[in-house]
Amino acid sequence: MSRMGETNTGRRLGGVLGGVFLLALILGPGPGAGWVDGTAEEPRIWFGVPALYVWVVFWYLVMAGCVVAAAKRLWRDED
Amino acid sequence: MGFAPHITLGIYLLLLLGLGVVSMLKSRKAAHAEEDYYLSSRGQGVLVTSLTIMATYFSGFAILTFPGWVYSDGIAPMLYALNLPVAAMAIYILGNRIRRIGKKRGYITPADMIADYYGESPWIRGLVTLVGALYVIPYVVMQVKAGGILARGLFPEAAPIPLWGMELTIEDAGVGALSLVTMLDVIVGGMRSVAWTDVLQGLLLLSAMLLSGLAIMNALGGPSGYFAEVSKLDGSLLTMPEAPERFNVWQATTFCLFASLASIVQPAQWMRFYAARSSKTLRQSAIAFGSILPVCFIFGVFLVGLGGRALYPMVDGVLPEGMSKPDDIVIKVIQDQFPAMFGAFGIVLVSLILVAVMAASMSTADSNLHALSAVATRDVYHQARPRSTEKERTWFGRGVIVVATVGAAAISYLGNNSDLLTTLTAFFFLAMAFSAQLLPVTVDLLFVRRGSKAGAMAGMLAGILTVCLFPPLGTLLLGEENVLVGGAGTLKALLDVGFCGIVVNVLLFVVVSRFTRKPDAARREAFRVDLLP
Repeated sequence: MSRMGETNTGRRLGGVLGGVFLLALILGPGPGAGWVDGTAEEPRIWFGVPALYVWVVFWYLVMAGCVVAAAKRLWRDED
Repeated sequence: MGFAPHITLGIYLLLLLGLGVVSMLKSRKAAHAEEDYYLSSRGQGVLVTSLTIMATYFSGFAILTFPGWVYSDGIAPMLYALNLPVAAMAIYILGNRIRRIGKKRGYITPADMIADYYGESPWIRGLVTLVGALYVIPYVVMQVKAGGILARGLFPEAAPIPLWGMELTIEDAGVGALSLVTMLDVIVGGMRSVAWTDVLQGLLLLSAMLLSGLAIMNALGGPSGYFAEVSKLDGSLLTMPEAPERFNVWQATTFCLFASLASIVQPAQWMRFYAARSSKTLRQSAIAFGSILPVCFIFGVFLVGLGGRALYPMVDGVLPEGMSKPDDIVIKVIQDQFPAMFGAFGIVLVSLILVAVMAASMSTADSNLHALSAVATRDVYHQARPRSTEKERTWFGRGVIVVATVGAAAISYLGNNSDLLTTLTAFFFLAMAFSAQLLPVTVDLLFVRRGSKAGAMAGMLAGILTVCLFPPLGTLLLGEENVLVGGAGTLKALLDVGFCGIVVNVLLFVVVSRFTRKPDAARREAFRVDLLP
């Protein structure tokens, strides 16, 4: 692939990763957490595990995945 | 536990001093004394950089208080762990640019870079130094104090120690020992010694965090038993609280974004970016930070907090025997469960983990002491005595470490009721919010370069003053009845304090920059070029 093609792919990947990371940051600790947890009287349980804990683990994996993907595919060693 | 804690602690402290001596011997070959003392000659590799960043990032407070919050408030505080991947991103995106230009222009402190870009003046350097000091000083004092509290956990039945006609409690002795070893470690070996120590402390601590998670799982009958038990907990512990209850979603979101970035631009971390060997070092450190540290929280100590609530329930709001506050849950679980799980080896493991938790305090204390020394030397002493030699400044820095350590130990010794300690505790709770006020200028000079010196100063000052309005500091400075403090208190229940300060900071920064002179085009261009790979 030409250098310009690589730059365009990099930009696109950067945009996708940035968007997913931002979404995870807003939905993970933010309002999304309040949608899945159920109520204090009837907390939601998914697969035998409190839904809120599953939520934390899921969004952590998404965010960590973005960091690893960016580090492997976007960030270049320059020295 | 017999003599196991004494022996473990003794070996551990000797190891630290050994590391200090080895790093001092290595420093003798350095061409530039100051750069070597403060930045390990900018040669730190991946293992050291990643672990020293992690060890500086989490303190004794994080290891004990976060699980304590989970114990008292349920799963909601776990959402705060999502700040860690944000910090990991920042390690490369901000850190690598800071490293790159720092190396090209020979910077040592954050103020070196900021004052160089906006135009050298005592005012802007002083403000950046003030922001750094507002973070570093309370941290040093509180970590030294935390060391004393942990010593009480390590030797709960120890008799008072007579010394020069006084009777020292085990907590005072812990503060003394922690201060002395930390001080010697930093004085002798500088950044290299601090970072090597952080490697040892970080490895111990990360293992301890994961092992304690395993211990609570085991105590509740494995993963299925664990989740069956925690699913029976009161529903309020398994759901998000509504605002303005603490740990609501708005607080969690703003904390995850801004507190993580604030911790990344505090002076000790900033200097770790300068000290990194290459961009590859920071790239790999970001991966390590984003994958290892959150795992240790989410699958380690957080599970201890939640499972601890099932294993040691509070009855009518009263804590179980052996716990004086929720923060004691990690210590209680390892003290009760490890001997049952591992037999005689468990007792050694308990000592090792308690020492590791103490290490969390030490690693934060030594990093901040070292940063304080750099800031005082470069940003204050060197400005007052521009002709001082590198060697003279390095010795001045060592003097600062002695004075700061003795001061921190003395404040801690004076006890919980002293006014100074109360004030410093108030500053400690807002330390990250103060540090966050460096973010707008950092982002401007690394990416945007449209701000002016007057704008940067106005923004930082307004941000600091805004943070000062929030409780507990605002209450201490202006009283509970003050309208502004009351408003800030309401806002604090909804949003992260650092974020509130940043909003005011950015507004002032943008408006004042619009009407004042920016650094000239040549300087902006030179900075842009130096920020390129």
